Amino acid sequence: MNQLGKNASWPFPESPADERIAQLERRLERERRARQEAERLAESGLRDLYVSRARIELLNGISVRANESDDPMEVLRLAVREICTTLGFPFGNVLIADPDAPGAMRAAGISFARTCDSAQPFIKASHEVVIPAGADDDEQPLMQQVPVWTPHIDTLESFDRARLARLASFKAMLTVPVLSGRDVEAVLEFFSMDLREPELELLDVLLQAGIQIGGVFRRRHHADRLRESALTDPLTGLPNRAAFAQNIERCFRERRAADEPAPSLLFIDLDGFKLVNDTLGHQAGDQLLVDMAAKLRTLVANANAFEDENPAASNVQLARLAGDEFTLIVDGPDRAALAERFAAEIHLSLRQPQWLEQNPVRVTASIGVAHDDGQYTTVSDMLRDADLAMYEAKSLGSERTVIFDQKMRNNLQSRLTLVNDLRTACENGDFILHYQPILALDTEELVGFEALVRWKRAGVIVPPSDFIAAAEESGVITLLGQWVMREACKTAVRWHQLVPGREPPLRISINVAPRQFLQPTFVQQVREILEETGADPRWIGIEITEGAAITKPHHTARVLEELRALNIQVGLDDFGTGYSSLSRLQTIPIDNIKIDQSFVRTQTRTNAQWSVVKAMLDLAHALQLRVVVEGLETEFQREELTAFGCEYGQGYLFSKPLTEEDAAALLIERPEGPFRHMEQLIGS
Amino acid sequence: MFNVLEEVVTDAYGPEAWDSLLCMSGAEGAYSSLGTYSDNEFHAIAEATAALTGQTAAEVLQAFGESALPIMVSRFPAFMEGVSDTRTFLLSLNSSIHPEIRKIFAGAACPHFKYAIGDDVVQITYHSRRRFCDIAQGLARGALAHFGENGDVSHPECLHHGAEACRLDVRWAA
Repeated sequence: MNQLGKNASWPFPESPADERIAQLERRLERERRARQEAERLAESGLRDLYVSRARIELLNGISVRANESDDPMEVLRLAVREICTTLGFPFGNVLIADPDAPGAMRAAGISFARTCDSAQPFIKASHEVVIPAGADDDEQPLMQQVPVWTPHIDTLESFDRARLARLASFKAMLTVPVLSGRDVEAVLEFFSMDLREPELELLDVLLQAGIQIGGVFRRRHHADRLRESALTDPLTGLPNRAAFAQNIERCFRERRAADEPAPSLLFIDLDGFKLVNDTLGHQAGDQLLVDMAAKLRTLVANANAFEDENPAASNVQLARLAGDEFTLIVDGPDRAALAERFAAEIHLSLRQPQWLEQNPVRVTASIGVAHDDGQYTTVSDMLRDADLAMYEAKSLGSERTVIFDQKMRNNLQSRLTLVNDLRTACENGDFILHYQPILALDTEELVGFEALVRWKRAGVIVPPSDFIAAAEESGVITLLGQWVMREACKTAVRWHQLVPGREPPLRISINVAPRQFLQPTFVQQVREILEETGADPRWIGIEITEGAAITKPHHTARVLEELRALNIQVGLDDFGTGYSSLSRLQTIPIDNIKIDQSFVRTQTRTNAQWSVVKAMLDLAHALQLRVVVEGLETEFQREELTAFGCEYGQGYLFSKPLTEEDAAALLIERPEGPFRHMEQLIGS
Repeated sequence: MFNVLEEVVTDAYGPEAWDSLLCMSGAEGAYSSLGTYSDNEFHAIAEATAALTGQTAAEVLQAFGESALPIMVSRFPAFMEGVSDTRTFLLSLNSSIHPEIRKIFAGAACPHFKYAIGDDVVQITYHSRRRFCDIAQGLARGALAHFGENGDVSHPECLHHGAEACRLDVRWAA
């Protein structure tokens, strides 16, 4: 077999030169075709690569912005620009769904153009496009859920802008929906000067871009709903406290900027709402609030009916602040008169009883009104005054309106001055303690004193009745209380140095206000003061009011136990005035009760009514509590109470409150007693 | 473009003519369609052709453009997709054809055209920094011939003759 091998001879004769040239030319031609084919393949590959990269970049650019932004318009602006420049559309325009007309679309005022002048009319028309609702048919690609390519728009009868498209040489349109779920939020429309149909893959990329932009709309809707619900009271649907605060702040600022009076304010509080809640249940209470909101809404809606002048100039805003508190902001030239008219109308509208759970219920309102007389510099002052006026109305009884006035402002001012002075007095220690002796009723032996605080204000001694309420309200009471406790302990130490070894030890009772007692650090404060002053815990007693005891019963019980563990006697002051249930008394760990002087002072030989006092004494003794009565003024009272078994007493019968020096003098002169009319002894 | 020029020259005068032109112009000669080469080489070849044929370089470039169009159409059919007349071809240069060119030839420096459109005329204005406005004029003529339309292309303003920009008027016969 003839093989092609190393040493095989070439079977063909050598060609002549012409033939060889022709061969080389054919070979060159083959090489050239091969090169062109290779170039074609490379070009096609490069084109595909370029196209897919450009699409990825386009989609990525839009997606990134869509994910970062919460402004759909900003993302639409970017998208229309990027799509135009990447895909070579000379003009792109955005239509958005009309929020006021479902199904309708209108130009968003967002577009991108790189066109010739002859396209200007088309662009202008596109900026003003309005597609009415119901234009959703096959001819109308705007409402489709997918991108739609529409060729020959310049001759399309259903296309409004066909004539202008012809002028602009726009031949085809590509619409891309911006979808949020199945809702078309917006449509991007792009116009092309040629009829080259986009590839399916590109349409898919644009569909995805539209969905990404739709996400921004979805987030915006969600945020809007959240904002709305954050400003709405869910029960009544009225604006809530936050909305009210925003509104009044804005109104106040705008009026001040315009150098005009701020709107009038009404604070409306239902009287007896708690009773409805407690007796008929919360559902009935809620119904009452819903009905109240409806009544107020109707009043506001009908405000024009009772407004004689400038009906359109007024602006009334209603809100529910909390619980049974509603508010009206009344703005406009007649705001003051209108606000007071509203108050009257509200009272009127509540005259009719309403039915709740088959019960006829009549609620009334207390209304506080504040008008801007130009003196307000902050809106919070005005809110405070409307609130104060409302409380004043409440204190006057139900169904009242109080308008905040100069007198109330003066009272407020003097109250503020009082509190400020009190604060300073606390810092300077401008207080003194007086001590009223407490005696064993049977033996008239001196057992202790009650420490009573007095304020030395500008050289005048002010009784506690004139400042304790203000001190409690402002919180100064906690500072004052600490001062009292420290001074009383120091006095106890001095007295025990004067009269050492007395058994049982002389005890100074110290009154502790609820606010001070409810402080989490109260026991620690007591411990520190004892340590600092060197007072023996048996030398002092702590008295709290019934009110403090029942506010937080568990806390109270724990604190009292801790005090007793320190060997401090604890007692309940003003017993009988706090309406604490008698059954609760046995759960409060105390050593004694002090029957309020109102039960004793009125008892005279001719009209004595001791039954209540006796019952209290029986109860106390059953619970093994010792009893102190205060306000003893007559021998008759002492005799009777002694006969009933009451252990201790204090009052003018024995002595008025004494200065520390007088009390000390008494201790030295008559360490054992008896102490009848001690101040006379001192005087003698 | 070098490849298209090679094809135009080879088709017209044979492969030896191309070789001669390369020798005369001192051009490198090994051109791939995907490579990028100096504009100066292109102009040198055009000058050499002009010297051989007794034409001006501008005329050579115009003739090149006119001949290049059908070659480009057959080589890159995607350019002409959806384009059925010269007017559409011209107006889609910015939006379709140049983007198509950029897809294949990364970094291709395609100019941006501005148009003024009339019923029987399209005026194209652009900055021809690469001095290829004559080729553009030839290409437009080639397009008219390709679509079998009766018209002509004039070049009344040229950047290289003191104008602010080049303007090509494509005008159709009534």
